[in-house]
Amino acid sequence: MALNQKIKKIAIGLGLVLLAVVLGSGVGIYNIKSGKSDSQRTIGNWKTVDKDKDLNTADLLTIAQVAVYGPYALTKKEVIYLSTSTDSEGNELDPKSDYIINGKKLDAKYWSITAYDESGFLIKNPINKYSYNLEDVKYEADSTSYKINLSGTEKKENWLPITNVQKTSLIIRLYLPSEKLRENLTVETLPTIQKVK
Amino acid sequence: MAATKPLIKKSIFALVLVVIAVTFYYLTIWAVPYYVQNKFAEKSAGYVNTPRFGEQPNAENSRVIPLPNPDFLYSTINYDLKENVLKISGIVPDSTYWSISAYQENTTNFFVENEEKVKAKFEYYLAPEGSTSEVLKNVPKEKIIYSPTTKGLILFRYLVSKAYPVKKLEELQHGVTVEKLAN
Repeated sequence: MALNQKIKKIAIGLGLVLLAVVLGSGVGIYNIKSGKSDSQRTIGNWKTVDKDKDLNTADLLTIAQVAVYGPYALTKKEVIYLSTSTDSEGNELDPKSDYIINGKKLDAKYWSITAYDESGFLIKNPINKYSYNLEDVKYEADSTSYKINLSGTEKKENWLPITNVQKTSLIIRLYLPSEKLRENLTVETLPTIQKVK
Repeated sequence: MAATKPLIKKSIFALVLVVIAVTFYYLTIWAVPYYVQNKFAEKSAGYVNTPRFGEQPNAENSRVIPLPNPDFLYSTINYDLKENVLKISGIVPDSTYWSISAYQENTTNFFVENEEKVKAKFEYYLAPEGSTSEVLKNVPKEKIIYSPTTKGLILFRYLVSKAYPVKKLEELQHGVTVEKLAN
């Protein structure tokens, strides 16, 4: 009887140890999937790395998240990445709706806005267009501002297709940004995303 | 006294469980980047220390690494410096963005140079940190990339632009050579 009780105790102990292992690893995976970390900074609806942090010196969780969802990123000195999966009102982007991305030229050697599907891959579309950048976006009459049509249905100009996807997200890349832009990355300098239909 | 003894035992055990859970939490988030790099290296099996030249990413040809930039041509060198120091050389475009970057085994970036700093041609020697290899003796310091880990990835980015359309860039992209030097 005493031996049976001892075996039972050991079994419960081992079970609890296993539970602790599963729980620890599970919370780790959950946190990686959550996309939230201490190194994150929010500017309006855009997310980027915190001002005082960088991708190669960030906390373990951020490094793991970048490795899974956007591996082989560069540090802030070279590129600033901004991501969003919501419009400027904070509502999740709905690929069945139409949006207008309103922005102005960004002071960087090269900048672009790219749309991705729920897995972070480029979206198959009839015009093979996945992004707009400083060279191929059609500017307004002032030669500085632009309107990009983010939509699942064809548009005449600056159409960034999000056809046949469940979810979408956008990434802005600012390669070799000016010091001014680096220091002044605000809601006003970044594009807005307005739902129109 | 006798009643508190099992309580102390249970408290210590509970503490051990918390320590185990926290340890496995950190172990998981620490190990995931190594797993990602390992998976990528597996897909590049047979191409260690050899350059691979990617096409311009689109919705069909770029389904392995998330968030590809469709404006770039990418080239990679999946490296292992256990037996070799690598001499990597090629040509740099003059009026479009270009960069060479190096990533250690946990996928974090530890080196990057772009076309604003490197003009016309590049030549780098990739060696493990602390290497005292003879082949590096007469090489200028700025040409040596010391990798914190034996394995990792070199990534080239070539921006497709009006000045450098795909065809023109492909010539430069495919001109990159990797020489294996004795360690």
